[in-house]
Amino acid sequence: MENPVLQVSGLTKSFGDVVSVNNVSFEIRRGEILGLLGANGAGKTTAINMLLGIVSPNSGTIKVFGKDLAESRIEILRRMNFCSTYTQLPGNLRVRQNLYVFGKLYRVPDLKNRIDEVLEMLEISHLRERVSGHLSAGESTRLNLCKSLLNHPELLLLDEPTASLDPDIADKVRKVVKKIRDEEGATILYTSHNMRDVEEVCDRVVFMHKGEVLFAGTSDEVLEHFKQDTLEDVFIQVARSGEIETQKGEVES
Amino acid sequence: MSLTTVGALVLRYLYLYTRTPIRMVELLFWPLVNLLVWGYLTVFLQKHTDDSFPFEITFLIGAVVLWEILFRAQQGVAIFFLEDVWSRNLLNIFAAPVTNADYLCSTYTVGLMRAGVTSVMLSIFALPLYSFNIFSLSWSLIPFVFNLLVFGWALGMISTSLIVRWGPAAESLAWAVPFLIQPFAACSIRCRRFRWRCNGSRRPCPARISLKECATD
Repeated sequence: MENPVLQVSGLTKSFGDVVSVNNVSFEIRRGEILGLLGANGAGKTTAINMLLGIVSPNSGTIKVFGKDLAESRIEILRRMNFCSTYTQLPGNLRVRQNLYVFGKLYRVPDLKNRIDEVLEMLEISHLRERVSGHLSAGESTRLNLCKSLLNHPELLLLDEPTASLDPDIADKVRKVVKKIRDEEGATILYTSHNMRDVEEVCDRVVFMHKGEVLFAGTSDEVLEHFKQDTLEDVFIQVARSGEIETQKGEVES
Repeated sequence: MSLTTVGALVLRYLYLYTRTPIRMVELLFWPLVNLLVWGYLTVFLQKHTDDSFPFEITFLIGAVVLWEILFRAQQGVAIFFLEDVWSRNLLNIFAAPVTNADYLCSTYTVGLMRAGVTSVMLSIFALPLYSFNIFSLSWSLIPFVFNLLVFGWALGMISTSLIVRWGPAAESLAWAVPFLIQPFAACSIRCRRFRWRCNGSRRPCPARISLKECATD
């Protein structure tokens, strides 16, 4: 059986007395889109920061492409990419300049053509010479997505990529996400508060609550486990329940 | 460390300055105002005081030029980091294959460029305005400037560390930290020492002459 692209085991991180991520384990297979779900404060962002090697875990291991992240971080980061609604590219630079700088950082070959390709893919070619700070929230998010696709990432971390988009653009973004998985075989970790996104895009989901993994499985398995009709109902049930019994230990992936 | 990565990070900074030329005010205008204030004060004191006035005052012009090297090097490091904080780009940078060494090297390069632009401009203006030639120090200027650059970079790293520790609320430290050491800074103390080595001469001496004399004394 092929090794998982991302393998997280026993990941724990605390800030002082607050345990943000507690003994989290999951894995993603090649070409899979995994949804990482949870209410605000569930530990998703801390988990992503650890997956990027920006925050060091207190314990646990992260293996990406079969290599230990702590030992081969730069080599791993060259093959993956990241996009978050909560980050922006420098507002004083033009769209083209921003993508050129990041393309250089990721050592993208034939960079100028690749910039044209990703702009075309996200349908913002007409913004090529626009100053990034003058873009709307939706355009800015799509620019971030362009940045994250520059290096043909084998593993893509998307942190709420449709949070600031209108339904039309959000739909287009979901199609792009599925397209890069289908055509380029990218493996994707997708966090979102939009359950429609998750139902449409993700093959499996991991539900987090108060830093711990509650359940992992396909959407149908999640619905059956929580005895709800929609993922949104599950989300609300999880977010509002203070005493949900968490499933400790390794979660079936 | 990768030169390609450092080059890309520096390029981003250059784009920033070519996109918004108003930023050059910080590099050119304020240092020039500083030079004019201290320069004309020096000229005034030289013309309106008798021989009993301490001559090290003439070195204020040199101190201004040398201080700007240190200050701009420090600013290069600290502001480079703050630009990423302000634009919410820090996570994108460190999610990219950028090592700490790459990032630091690019901040040093930007600090060097900023110090170079400002000090060259001030040196050029000081020559016709006050007959002050910093290059009269000749080769001995090189280790001195290098010393100031390294100290400026170190102060920049201290400023950045404090901002990381205390958050964006502490960003004014990016400007404040160098002034904590200004009264003891080498660029003024060193000049005074040069002056003291001039055998206690009491004759009026333009800055250009005195700096050269002191360096070769």
